[in-house]
Amino acid sequence: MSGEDPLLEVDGLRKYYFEQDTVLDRLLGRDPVSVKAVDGVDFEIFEGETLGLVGESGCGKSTTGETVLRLREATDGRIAFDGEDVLEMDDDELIEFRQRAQVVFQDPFSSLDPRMTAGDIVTEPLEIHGIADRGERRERAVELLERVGLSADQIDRYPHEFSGGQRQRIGIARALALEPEFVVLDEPVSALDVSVQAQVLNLLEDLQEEFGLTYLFIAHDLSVVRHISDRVAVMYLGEIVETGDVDDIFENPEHPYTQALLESVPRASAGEHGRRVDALPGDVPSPRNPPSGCHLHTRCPYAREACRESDPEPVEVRPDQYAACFRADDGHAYWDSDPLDHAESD
Amino acid sequence: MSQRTESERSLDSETLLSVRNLSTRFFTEEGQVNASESVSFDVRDNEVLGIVGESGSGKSVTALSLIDLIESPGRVTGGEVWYREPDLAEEFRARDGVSVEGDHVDLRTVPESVRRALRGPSFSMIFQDPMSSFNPSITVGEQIAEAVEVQRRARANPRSTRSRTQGYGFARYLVDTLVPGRGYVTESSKERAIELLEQVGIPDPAERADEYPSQFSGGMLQRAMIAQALAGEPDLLVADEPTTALDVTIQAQILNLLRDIQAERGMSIILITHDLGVIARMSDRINVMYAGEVVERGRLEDIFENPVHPYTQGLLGSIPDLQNPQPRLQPIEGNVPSLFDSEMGDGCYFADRCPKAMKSCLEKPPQRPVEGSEEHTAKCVLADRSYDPSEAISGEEVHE
Repeated sequence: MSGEDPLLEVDGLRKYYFEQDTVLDRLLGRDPVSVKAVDGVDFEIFEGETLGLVGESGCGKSTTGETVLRLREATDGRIAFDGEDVLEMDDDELIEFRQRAQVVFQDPFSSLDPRMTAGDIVTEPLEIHGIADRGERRERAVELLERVGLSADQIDRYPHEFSGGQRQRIGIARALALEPEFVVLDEPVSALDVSVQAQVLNLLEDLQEEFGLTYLFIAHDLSVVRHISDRVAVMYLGEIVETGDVDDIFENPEHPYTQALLESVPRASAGEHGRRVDALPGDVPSPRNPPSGCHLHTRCPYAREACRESDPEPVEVRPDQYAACFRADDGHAYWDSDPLDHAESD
Repeated sequence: MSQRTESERSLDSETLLSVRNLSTRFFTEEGQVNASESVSFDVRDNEVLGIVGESGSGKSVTALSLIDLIESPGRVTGGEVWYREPDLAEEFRARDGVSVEGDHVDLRTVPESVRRALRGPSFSMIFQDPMSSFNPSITVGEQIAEAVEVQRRARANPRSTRSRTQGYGFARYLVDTLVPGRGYVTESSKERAIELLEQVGIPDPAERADEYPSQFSGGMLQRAMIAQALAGEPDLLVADEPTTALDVTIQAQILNLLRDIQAERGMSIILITHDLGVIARMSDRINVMYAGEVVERGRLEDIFENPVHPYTQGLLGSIPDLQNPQPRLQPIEGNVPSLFDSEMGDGCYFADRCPKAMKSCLEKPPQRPVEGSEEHTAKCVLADRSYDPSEAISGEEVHE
C-alpha cells in the first residue's frame, strides 16, 4: 500500500484560535491568547482505506476533520488531496473538491434542516452544484434513501418524523449524493443507541465496499474505531501521538497514552467485573496553556525530566507504526534523566 | 423448584430496597405513555445493582419513580417500594393505610412528607450531566454546603419540611433571591463541604470550593456532584449515567471513586447506564430493560455468559469487541418501539424486532426463571424452552 501515492496527505497542519483578539483588546494592550486546537499534525490516507482518528474531547480531532475539508481555514501546514494543494485552491477548484470530499456530522438532530423534507435534504448538494433538474433529483433522492435503508415513501417527511438512526442515514445519503471519493465521518454513531449504532456501522462498511470510498473516521469510542478502521491515529492535545495499523495499535500500543486509553475502556464481558484502572491521573490540561515538552508529561506514569524539556518526534517502532515517545528510542537521553515526582521509576 | 413470582418474594433482612410492580405513566396531550411498566427488583446491602437499557427503555424513569421525583404530567400509577428502616416501620406499624412488613415499609403508602424526608439521608442521586446539575452562579462549595445544611436541619427535625426551609419569610426570600443559597452556608456546613470535596479526590479542596462550576472540568464537577450526594450520608445512591458525559480516562477515575466510597460507606448503588462495559465493571447483579420493562435479570455472569432473552443477546452482539473484533456486527433490526399505550399491543414488546419470534409471543410473556442459576429470570418464552422454527412468525404478523 505504501508504494502508491496517498489520496490525502496532511503535513504539519495547524489550526489556532485566538482569544482576546478584538480591536478593543488591542487598544487595551492585551495580547491575543492562542488556543492550539491542532498543533502540527501529519497523516496520510490511501484510497479505499479507513483511517480512524481517535482521542478524547478537546484533542482536536474534529477540528482536524473540518480543516482538512477547508470548512475551517488552517493556520499553517499543507493538505494535498489527490496531488492538489487544498489550502491553495480558489473558489472554482474548491467547488470541484467539495464534490469529491464530503462530511457526515455527529448530531443527526442539529445537522438536518428541520424545515426541509428528507428528499430535499438528500438532494440539496445536487441543486447547489447544479447537477440535476427537479425531476432527476427526486429520482435520485429515492435511490439514495433506499440505498441507506430508508423507504421511498419517506421522501416527503421532515427530520422530526425520523428516529436518530434514521436521521443519521439521511445524513449519510446526503454525503453520498455527489458520489464523492472521500468522506469525513465525524463521530457518526456516537449519538446513537448501540443496536442502532451497529446498523449504521454495517451500512458504512457496505457503502465503502460498493462505492470504493475512503473514510476519515473520527471517534472517541475505541471499540468502534477498532471495528471500522484499517489504520489508526491517536490524538492528544492537538498532536498525533501514535499511528499504525489497527491491529498493531490495539495489540501492541507503544505510546503510554494509547496504552492508557485502551486500558481504561470498560469491556462488556463478565471478566471485567471489579477491574481497577489507574491508568492516567488528573485532567486533560487546557489547550490554551499546554504543558511544555511532551504534552502528556503531567499525567504520564513514565514521565521523566527529558519529557518536560523537549517534545518527542515520532519514532518507527514497527513497520508503519510510529509513536511520539522517547521510550520508543532505546538510546535516548530520556533513560538517563530523573523520573518526575508523580511518575513511578522503572 | 417452586415458581417464584414477583409479589411472593419475601423481604429478608439483607434487602435494603424492594421495588415491586412499579409502573409510571405520562399523561400527555398526545396520549398515555407507559414509560415504565411493572418493574420489580431488589437492592441488597452493599451491592451495585446495574440497570442497563437503551434510550427510552424506562431506566431513568424507574429511578426517579422510586425516589418520588416524577413530575407532571407523569405519575407513578402503581406498585410498591419497600424500604428497610426499622424506626419508620415502628412508627407506622399501627397506622391505617400504611403497609409495614417486619422492618420494611412500603414507601408508596406513607405520606409524601415522609418520602421527601428520606431523600438525602436514605436516597441520593447523581445525574449524567454535571454541568447542568449545578447552578452556574453559585460557587461549588456553597452548593455543597447548602446540601449539608439542609440535611443537618432534616436530621434535627426529620418530619418537618418547614424546618429545612425555615425562616422563609419575605425578608429571607428577598435575601435569598439577591444572594442565592446564602441562608444555608454556615461555618460548619462550609467546613463539611470542603471535607466532602477532599473525600471525592478534589485537590486543594479549600480553594476549589470557592470556584464556580464553569471553572471545573467535567470530571471534577462529577466528583463535586458525588460529594453533594454524600452530604446526607445516604444508604442508597442512585447514579444515572454518571460517566456518560466523560472521557474514558476520566470515566475510569470516577468509576474507581464510586467503588471506593461504596466500599468505605457500605452503601448500595443503583447504577443506570446504556454502556454494557461500565455495567460489567461495576455491577454485581443486572437488570436489562426494554420498552419500560425488565426483560432479563441475573447475576453478572448470567447476563454476559448465558443471556437468554433475544434482546440481551442482540445488545451484546451489537457492541464491537475491543479485543477480538468480529468481522461483522449483528445489530438488532428495526427501531425502539413507541411507548404510547394505544400502540403497544398485548404481546411481547420485542416480538417485532426479535429474530426468534414465535406464535406464543403474541401473548405477554411472564418473567420466568432460567435453569442453572437461582437469580436468573427472563421475560421471554425462551426462558425455559428452545426456539422452534416451525412456530416462527414475522414482524408483520406481530402487528396484526
